[in-house]
Amino acid sequence: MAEGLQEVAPTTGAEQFQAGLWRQNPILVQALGMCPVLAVSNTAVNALTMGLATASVLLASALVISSLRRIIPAQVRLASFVLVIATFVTVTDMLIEAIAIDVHRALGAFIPLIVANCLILGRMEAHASRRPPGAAALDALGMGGGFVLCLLTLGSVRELLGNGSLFGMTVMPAAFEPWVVMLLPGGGFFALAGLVLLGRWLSGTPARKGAGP
Amino acid sequence: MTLRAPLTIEPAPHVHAGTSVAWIMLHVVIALIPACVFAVYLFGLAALLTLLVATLSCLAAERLLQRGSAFTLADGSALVTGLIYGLTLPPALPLWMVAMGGFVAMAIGKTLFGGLGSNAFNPALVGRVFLQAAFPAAMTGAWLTPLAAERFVTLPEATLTGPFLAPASGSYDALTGPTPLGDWKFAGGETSTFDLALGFTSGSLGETSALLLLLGGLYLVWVKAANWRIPAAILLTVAICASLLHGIDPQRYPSASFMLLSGGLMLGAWFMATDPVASPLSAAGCWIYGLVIGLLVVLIRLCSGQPEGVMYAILLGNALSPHIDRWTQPRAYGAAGGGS
Amino acid sequence: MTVLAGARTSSEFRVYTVLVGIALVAGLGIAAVHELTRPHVAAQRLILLSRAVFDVLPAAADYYALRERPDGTFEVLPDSTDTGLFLGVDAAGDPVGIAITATGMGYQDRIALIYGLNPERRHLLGLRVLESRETPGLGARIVDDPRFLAAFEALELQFDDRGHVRALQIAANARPDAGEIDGITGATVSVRAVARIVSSSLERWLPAFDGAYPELREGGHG
Repeated sequence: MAEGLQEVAPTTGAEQFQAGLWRQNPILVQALGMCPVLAVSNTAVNALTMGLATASVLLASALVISSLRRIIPAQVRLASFVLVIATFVTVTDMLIEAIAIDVHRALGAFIPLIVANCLILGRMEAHASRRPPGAAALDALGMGGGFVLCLLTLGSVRELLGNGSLFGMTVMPAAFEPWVVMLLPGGGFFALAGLVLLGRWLSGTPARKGAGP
Repeated sequence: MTLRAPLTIEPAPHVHAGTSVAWIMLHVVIALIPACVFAVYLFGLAALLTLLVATLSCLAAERLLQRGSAFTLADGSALVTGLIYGLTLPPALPLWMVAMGGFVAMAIGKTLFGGLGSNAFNPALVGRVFLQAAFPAAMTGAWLTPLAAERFVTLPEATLTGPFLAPASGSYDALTGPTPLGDWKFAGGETSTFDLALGFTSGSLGETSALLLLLGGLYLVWVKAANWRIPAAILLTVAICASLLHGIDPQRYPSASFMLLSGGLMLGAWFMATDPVASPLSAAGCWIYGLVIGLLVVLIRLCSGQPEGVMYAILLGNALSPHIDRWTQPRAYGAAGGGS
Repeated sequence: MTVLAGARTSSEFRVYTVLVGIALVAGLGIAAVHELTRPHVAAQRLILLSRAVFDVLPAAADYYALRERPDGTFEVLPDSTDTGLFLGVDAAGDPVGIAITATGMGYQDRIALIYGLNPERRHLLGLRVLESRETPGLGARIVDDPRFLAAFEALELQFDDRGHVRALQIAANARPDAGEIDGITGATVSVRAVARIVSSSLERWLPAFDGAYPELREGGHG
């Protein structure tokens, strides 16, 4: 979606923060960074780790790039952004492996692939490189927070229905029949569609009429 | 689009003058009755309840989801979807799963795509494929022994488990032996052609009697409620491929009669692949569509980890059918201004 | 683009300086974090591995990595390098079995597993799946189905007349004392894959150990 890049710059700090959480939520509204959202939201732990990793990279990169915004030449800004982002992704990857190797194995290639997450590069280009560090950090926190919340919701719902558990602890009654499909890729699409539907419904966005062939 | 006479696209039956959706659906129901009755005779009360719940859940979902739209229950399409969907299920499936799949069939398979006439996939198969992915253990285990003595007085334990719960014993497969395809795939056994044709085997409700389904299918073709080219193309493709492979290595590949009569091929070829909305329009398109489905059936059955592939083959065929339509549509050259 | 370094084009020299500068700092940072985390990562990997080795060699109190020399004999490595081959010893330092890792194709992707073999190499002591991407709810049950895993805890290997090991068989109501394992409904392909991987790994390693094992007994230092 292109709307994400044409937003009107919010005025107050609180608005800046809230935009990412809800009005410009990266998953529900902008539909950015969908690949990890669908691929690793099969359990709450995986989703939370992935969300936090992405949000930390976003925040750290936003701070650095915002501080360097007067130094980075315009011709090589994208290369510089990617360099900074890749550094933080590599660091995050190593930290996760050192802290929780089980989760690191489950997430596989998706942590390194945060480099390619269009959400992060998009925020750098549209916001962090044009604002002072404070505003850039607020924006990154809002976007990252919105990303984590959505991912965690998806992961929790999928783990609850697909495995009857939450963060690895069984919460459903023993006789509960798990919906295996929720752990499979298809379940990711179902859950995401449900979440977007719910988001649209809550924010009162009218459904498109007459969009059929 | 303007087409000249020699370039006429053969339309699907549902837009023939003088027929209506309800008319076609009535004939499909008539054609399905023998197979339904036989399923109840074979598996007893459990089969009756499964068919009933499948049909009622589809009707209820249609009523609920199509409020305020032009479509009503009266066109019978929900009834047909419900019956076909019921026939694809294993007989001892918990009834709450049956109802859930029926709802998914109508909600995701039909309403989301815009209702009758717009569904890209056969709704009954969408319901079944959802259950297959959601509850694989139940869908691959809830078989019943055919003609069990107690089948009209007792129900299998799994049938009446509470909503969202597993059966108390935790297992679905306590009761029975494998289906003919499962037996062939995992144990190397080949059920006799005679049993397969008459249908005294284990399997889904509509996977058993090949002859009765053939009869129903021929009736559909006779009253022109289904395009004969589609089942013909599917069955011919499967028969030819299976004969060739069986001729090359009879130890490894089953005979053509086994391939044709086992599993859901008859039900799929005559009743599901022929869904007038999700199949191609032109005659050539129907042949290509049937060929693709037939090849996929052979490929999935013989080369994959799954014993049966008719369901996936038809859904993939459905997905291809708009493209097949585009390829086979005669170009309207010269309709506006000449060839040069 | 108006904010970044103004609208004017920067000199080539500046472009290079900035890029190289960022890259240098980034490289230094990564190297520093790598040095910091390396011991933790190694420790974590070791924990995962030793958990699996002790699972498949329940009697072991300690284990050593083994490496096959080009001449077919085995050397016992002083540390626990992951050679995929481990000699388990009890508290007295006597061998209680060998843990062997093996990989092969499953239904979806590669399956990596580890199994324990008793010192006489006549039966298995246990099996754990290390890595798999089998279908959740179906094939993935090879990872945690207790009945399936229990079958490997006392699985008698079968040998033909010439002393070659026979492939593991899958059977209903399997008899572990006859080299048979139980299938899992819905996981037929994955169970077969496990049986195949273990069988071919046995074919590979049993003859190699037949000549070399006695000296390992001496080699097991306490």
